[in-house]
Amino acid sequence: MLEDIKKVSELALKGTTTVGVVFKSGVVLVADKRVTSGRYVAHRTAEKILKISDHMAVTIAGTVADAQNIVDILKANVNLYSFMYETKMSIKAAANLVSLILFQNRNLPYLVQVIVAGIDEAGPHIYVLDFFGNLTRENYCATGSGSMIAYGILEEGYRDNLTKEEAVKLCIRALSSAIKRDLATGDGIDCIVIDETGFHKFTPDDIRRIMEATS
Amino acid sequence: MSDRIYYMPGATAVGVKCKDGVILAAEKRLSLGYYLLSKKARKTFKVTDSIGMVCAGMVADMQMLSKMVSIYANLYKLEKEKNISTKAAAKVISNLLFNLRLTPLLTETIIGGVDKDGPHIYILDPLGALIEDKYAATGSGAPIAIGIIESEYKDTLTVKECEKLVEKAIRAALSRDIGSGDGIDMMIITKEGIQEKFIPFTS
Repeated sequence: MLEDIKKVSELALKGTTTVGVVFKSGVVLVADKRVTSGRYVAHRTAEKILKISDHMAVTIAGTVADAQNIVDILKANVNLYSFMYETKMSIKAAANLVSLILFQNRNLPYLVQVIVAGIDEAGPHIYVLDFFGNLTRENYCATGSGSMIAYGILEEGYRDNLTKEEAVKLCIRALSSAIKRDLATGDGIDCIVIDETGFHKFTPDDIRRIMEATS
Repeated sequence: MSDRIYYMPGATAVGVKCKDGVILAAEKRLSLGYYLLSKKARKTFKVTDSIGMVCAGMVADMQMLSKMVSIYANLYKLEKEKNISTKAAAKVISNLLFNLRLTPLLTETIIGGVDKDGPHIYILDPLGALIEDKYAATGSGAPIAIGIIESEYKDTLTVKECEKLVEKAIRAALSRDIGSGDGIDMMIITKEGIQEKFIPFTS
């Protein structure tokens, strides 16, 4: 059985680097756009940062099908929660839910790494989850095949109380490094910011401008 | 090694979105390892009058999958009294595939159609990952086909130009991939509906 799963997961779509950073008043998430199947680039325009609600987003790395299923469940629950309690679900609660989903499938894990990020009454938060549902709160984090390279830049560049502009620059710099040195990462950058003014997605032109300014 | 070949049967399936429609195409060879089982396998399927799908992989799995999704599409139409959108049909396939995650259907599916939001294509892996794209190729001939499509694709292509491009891409794949061959089935989907076409191929 496990052998079968291994064989199929060789065919499944994978590969990614995603980065998340907390700044003074919000969070930044960046991700690349490449999806690979082994050494074949299956897609070049994939969305790996998925909006859950106006105050929350996740990034996905690993097996795309598994990650999309988790996002579907999370989205439904966050919506249901806001209807039932007439208040937004906290980021911690959402991350905890993802952790439970992952842990319940411990015998046959969802092969994913998820970042759950957003802003609530308690401020901006980033949580990182691994295959088995291990849940940690971080100020900065990277997931996926290029995460080691991204961490190199993050460790060197992160400090407390970054401004929004500094945080965006740091994230994009970390992801550009991963694109340069990790073969399963590439084909462009997606970037979003969630702060008290809401959910903002950067246009390709914005990102190009930031990259030119940092290089 | 032998079961790896069994796990990944050869095929080339291509889907391209153009200005006013969608072209889906697949070749007709059905092989098991190095043995050619059939020269007349159909890998293009009608889901509704305006949605089609093409698959690469195990033919039994794709036949069952297409049957199930057309049943759901019909049920949707009976219940809601309107046609299912391409995105919803794609999500149905995604859910069907993901529910079988423990014993997956070995198919890489491209589903495309024209609805009130215009033309769309979606690509699914054996586990049900759902990704929208402008063009895609699946199967063992995909790396060859995608090279041709990518070099000539433009957003402004018309259905006629697109048809030529898809044929060229699959011909290239058929000439260099032993898992693919024996003719091309093509589905041309526009606002008016689905037009099916067969292009014989010998080499």
